Amino acid sequence: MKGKYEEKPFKRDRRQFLKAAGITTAITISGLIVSLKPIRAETSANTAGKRFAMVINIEKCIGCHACVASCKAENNVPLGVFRTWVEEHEKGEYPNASLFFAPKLCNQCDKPPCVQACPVKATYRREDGLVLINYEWCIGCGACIQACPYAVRYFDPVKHTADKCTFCVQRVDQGLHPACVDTCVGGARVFGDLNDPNSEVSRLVSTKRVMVLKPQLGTEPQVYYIGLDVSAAK
Amino acid sequence: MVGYVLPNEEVYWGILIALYPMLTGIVAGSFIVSTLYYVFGIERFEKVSRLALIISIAFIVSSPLPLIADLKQPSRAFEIYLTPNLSSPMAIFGYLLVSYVLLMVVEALLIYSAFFVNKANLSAGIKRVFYRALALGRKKISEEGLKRDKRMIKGIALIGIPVASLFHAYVGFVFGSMKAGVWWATPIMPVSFLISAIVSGIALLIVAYVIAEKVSKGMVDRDLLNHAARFLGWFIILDLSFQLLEILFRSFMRYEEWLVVQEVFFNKLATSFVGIQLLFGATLPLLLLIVPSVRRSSLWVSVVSIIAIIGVFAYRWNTVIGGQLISRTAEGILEYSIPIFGRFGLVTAISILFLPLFIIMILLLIVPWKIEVKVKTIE
Repeated sequence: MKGKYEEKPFKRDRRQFLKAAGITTAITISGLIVSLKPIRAETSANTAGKRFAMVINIEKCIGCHACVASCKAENNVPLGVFRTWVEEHEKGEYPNASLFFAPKLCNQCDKPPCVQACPVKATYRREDGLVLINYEWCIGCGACIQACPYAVRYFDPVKHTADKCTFCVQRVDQGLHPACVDTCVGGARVFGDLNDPNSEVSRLVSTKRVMVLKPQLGTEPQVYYIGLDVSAAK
Repeated sequence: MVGYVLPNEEVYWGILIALYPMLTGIVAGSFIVSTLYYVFGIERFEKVSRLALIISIAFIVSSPLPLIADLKQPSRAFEIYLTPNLSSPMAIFGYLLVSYVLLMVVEALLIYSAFFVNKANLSAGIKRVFYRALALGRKKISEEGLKRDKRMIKGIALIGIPVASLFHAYVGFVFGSMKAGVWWATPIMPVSFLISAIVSGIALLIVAYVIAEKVSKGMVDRDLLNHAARFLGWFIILDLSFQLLEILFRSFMRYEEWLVVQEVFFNKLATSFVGIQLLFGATLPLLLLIVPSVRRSSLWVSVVSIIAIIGVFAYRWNTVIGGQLISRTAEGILEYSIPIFGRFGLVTAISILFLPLFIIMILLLIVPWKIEVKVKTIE
């Protein structure tokens, strides 16, 4: 059945075709690998060798919400979302009743599930312990928000990326304290370097009975609480 | 919102993310049915093997859409290839998707190779170039070549089984590994997701087969239908067992979240969880499939299949949305209402759902699902 279809025989046979296709694919893939972006691991020179942590003394918190207000002002936090908040908890029944406050913020975990979950390395943990977000890289998938057991992450309705408390990295890098710490009227929030044995946080963490939120999850939070009631330890 | 809910909490993953595992489930389930013939050589399923692969390809090509549409920065979607975080199950998605698409396309091209060669030889001009390219440059086919192809198809389909399982089980892993979500975090999730995926895959294939046979005015193969229906029944049993095990263990262990889980799934979502997911979507089709005459009636099997698909969608919905209704405090419940319009709304979801159906029709214009491919050799 030598047909007329043989008149214009294809020069390339199947093997050559596949070879050419294979080479093209290989070149494309290697090009992609070469163009892989390096991980951004910026660490400020001022904070080298430090490990930041915060201690919150519940018994000193008077519930004035000044920390929330200063955080909003310092970090331009949009309405409806919070980098820090203060919970009000009531306990007991009259006459044996009491009211206490529980400030919450990003725990800057040593083993952050958000960093583990981020598909594009947009969120990362610096050597000084700060868990930060690269807003240029965030694709807004929400994996970190879902992965955070403390619900401290949110979608920023203006930037359209995930966002959260950064311990005021812009202040910390200049040797200042986070805005919430400086503004706290009762001195309930203490910020400092755990690597420095003379710092206030080191002293409190080693001499007081402290607890962290959801320790069973193995996230190793770096926000320690003094006097937190079990009902608010969520 | 009821109870102790933290201020940033809301249902961040909506209907689009509930749709996504539905699509990947059909991909994996349908592909696995196609391997019944290509790998395990069950001749009975030959008739639907090509249709299964076409459905699988159409759904996998559509599967990234709901994810991309749900991104707050959709233009950066490609970043998962450029800066992948290998500890994140989501980052693996991109690579799995590409390798799986390649695998299925190569398999399909080989399956239709003889068809494309004949088509190319019988046409001229641009059409000839088109079919010649699809035939991977082949000009003629021989018995020996067909045998070699068959071996290659078997090999590719065999590799495809773990890839298909991974592709869908990974979705289960994304949820199952979220220790922050008390309803999600269970190692059963990937297995349970995969099994219900197979249910949805077989069910959709049955409906597609019956429609395709009716459209092409052919006779529905009762024997095939009966066996496919049995297959569906067995997987519904497995699916139900895993889901009931989950509930049994939770209700027995009564961790701190149990009260809220109970409130969400047996009160707030009782209709979609107990009603649709467990009773209407799984138990009812199972009971119907026990009846032999149901398994032989193309109308009944189609109806049962559609019910099973609804049941699987309810499962996806209750997992994705229901899981987020439980507060991180395990002491509160969130609210979710489906937005109708907008990028994250119902209209987008339905439009995306139509895309794979459209692709199936386009593919069926190019290649037949049924016609026995005749070997025509050119000396």
